[in-house]
Amino acid sequence: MSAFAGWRACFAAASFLVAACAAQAHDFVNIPPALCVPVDRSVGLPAEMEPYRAAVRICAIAQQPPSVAAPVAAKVNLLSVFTDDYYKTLPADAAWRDFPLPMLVDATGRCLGRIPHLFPVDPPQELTISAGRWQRGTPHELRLKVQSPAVGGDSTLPSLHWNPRKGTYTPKNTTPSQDKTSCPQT
Amino acid sequence: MPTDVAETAQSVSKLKQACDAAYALYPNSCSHAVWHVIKQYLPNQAWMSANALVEHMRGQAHWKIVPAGQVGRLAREGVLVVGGKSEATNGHVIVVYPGPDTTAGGYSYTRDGKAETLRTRGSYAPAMSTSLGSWPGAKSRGDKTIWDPWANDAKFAQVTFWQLVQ
Repeated sequence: MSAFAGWRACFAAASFLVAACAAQAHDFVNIPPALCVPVDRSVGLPAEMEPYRAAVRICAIAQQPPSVAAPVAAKVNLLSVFTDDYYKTLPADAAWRDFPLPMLVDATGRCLGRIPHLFPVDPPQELTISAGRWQRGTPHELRLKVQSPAVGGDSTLPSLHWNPRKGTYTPKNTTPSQDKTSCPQT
Repeated sequence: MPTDVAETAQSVSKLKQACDAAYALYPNSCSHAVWHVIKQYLPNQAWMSANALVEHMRGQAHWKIVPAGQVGRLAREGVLVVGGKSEATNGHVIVVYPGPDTTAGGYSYTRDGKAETLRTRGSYAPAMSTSLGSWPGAKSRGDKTIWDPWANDAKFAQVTFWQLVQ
């Protein structure tokens, strides 16, 4: 199976399984981590995620749950290292790793941007991603809410907005030095 | 013992004693605990909330901003260093505790009703921190680090540290 075919098959499976939960006002839907699926061995990953392949999951970002009869590949997907999965088989005193940030990709695996926080968990924080302002299957805004039991409590990260001209997601009103959402240089 | 070494030891001892006393006296209020330490150096210092203290230090010549990477060395030399971050509601302030840098994390907390251990990560200066909240990383008498109250790299990057210059 080619890498591209691998991506298509993987996204169809992810879309079939992931039914984004209608959880917010308007057309925003939360991306449920429980329905993200492991990546197929044939799927090429960004080099920085390769060491964590066993813990990488793919989440289809879809407005409606695809029907059983006609599973549709999502136009936007999220590749993320699930840190709980990574540590599942490691000893309790295994140190934290500098995990790569989650990456938004299209159906061919092209990077569309990054989420500036690990998803779903960067202990003790948990990230909720809500996708909305849909146009032809593409969310034009991704809202990011961080829940934290630590000092300072919950917070909201700058939303990512779809830039159709560049074909990427970028935050508004963020200086380049603060921006962690750019795709890695290829 | 050379004079400067003896002076440093005395300064460190004073800072440590002030931190220990503050931790015991005000286990549930970061602003009162930090206030207690500051008063040992600036007796006329009035109590301020964490947000107010952060704002106050920004405008005072005797409080000099220092990078987070230098605060451990300063505290080990007996210099008072206060760290803080404002919030829309209640901010948080800490004092850098004199002692060797140590790993952040490594303590238990409750997640989804289950006890978990926060993985160790990075190496930071120890902290004196107290809090009304239940987050264990914010309760430290030198046994947790300056990262642990916020327990997040992005938030920690927004913490400002001030060295008392007398």
